[in-house]
Amino acid sequence: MRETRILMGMPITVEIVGTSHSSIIELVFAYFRAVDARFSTYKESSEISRFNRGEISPENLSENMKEVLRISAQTRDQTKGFFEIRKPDGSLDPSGIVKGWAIKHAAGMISAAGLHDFYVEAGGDIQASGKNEDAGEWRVGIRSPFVMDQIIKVVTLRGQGMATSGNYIRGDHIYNPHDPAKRIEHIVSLSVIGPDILEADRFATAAFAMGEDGIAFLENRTGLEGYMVTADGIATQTSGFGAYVIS
Amino acid sequence: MRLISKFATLLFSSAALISHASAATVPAVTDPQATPDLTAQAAALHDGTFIGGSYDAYYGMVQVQATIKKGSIVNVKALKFPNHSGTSRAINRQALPYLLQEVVSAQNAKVQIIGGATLTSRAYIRSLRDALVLSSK
Repeated sequence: MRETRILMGMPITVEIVGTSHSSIIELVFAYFRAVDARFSTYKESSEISRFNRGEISPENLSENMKEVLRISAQTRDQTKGFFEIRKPDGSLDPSGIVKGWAIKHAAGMISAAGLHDFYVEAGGDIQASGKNEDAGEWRVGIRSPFVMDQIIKVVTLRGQGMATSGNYIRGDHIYNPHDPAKRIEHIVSLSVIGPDILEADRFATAAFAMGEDGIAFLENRTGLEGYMVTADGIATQTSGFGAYVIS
Repeated sequence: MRLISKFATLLFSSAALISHASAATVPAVTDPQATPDLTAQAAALHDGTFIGGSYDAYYGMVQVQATIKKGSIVNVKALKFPNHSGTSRAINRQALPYLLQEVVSAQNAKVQIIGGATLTSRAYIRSLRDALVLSSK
């Protein structure tokens, strides 16, 4: 069964092959709601907002928050500082990693319930597992950054995650931490396939901020493949990306 | 939830209604500029097709059409969306000669999941909210 809801300002879909999985699906949506309540920088009552206002000391943060901040710091170190959750005003905004982190944990909840054939998709980022309802591999379309109803690439995910960073519809939600005033205009979409959605998401965010160097960064990183679309309608892919491509 | 309070939720907390009957009410969002927090409520959405307003998503205008059946959203279609492929052709790009490049083109293969850049902007949510308000009338 499949269910879509809008949470965290985006459509989130959970599909578990078979019927009568509504209780685990409810748990997954409740989990996303709890993640939003903790990590949303738009909510004054969230833990991240309270931390940014100095109302919580670092040692009193939740284990979840500590984990996200630790992964954020690790990602910053792995990406020459191109992944940076500290904004120019000094506050922390971990939203570049929370989505992938939450999808990974949601998928873990479904696996822990003994279910193997499912996917979780939030705002275009995906963790797939097992097979689809026809016992085939999950086939994933990459949406065109130019024409919303079109798919420009079809890939299969065999347990991997795929995340996409884009610049055209959410506005400037990613900026270059080394030059915050400079807009990243040329690249409109960068999809990354990684061993899981968290790996895909954090490196998609960082590689996008690198501009055209991002695809070379992905090429040099084991386990990550990328598909970059620039504003002129040209796609550039890493050398291992083709192994996932159906059409 | 009574209809009038539902309108209040829609209009003042930016919460819209979608698809499922069992979830709880969203607490009011105090910041009107916050990302709209949409949650699940089924009652009082009337069947039909409803078009939201057109909003500026920074790179262009976004407008959506929601189709409601049996009180649930079954489809949300983008009627307008940013599209600047036609105006960006002149941009000069540096080549990455050692990686495979191609002109992007529409694919027709069957898929179960669509990933990629998503319609998650505030403009999209506002337009969807309009459509759902219309469906509640």
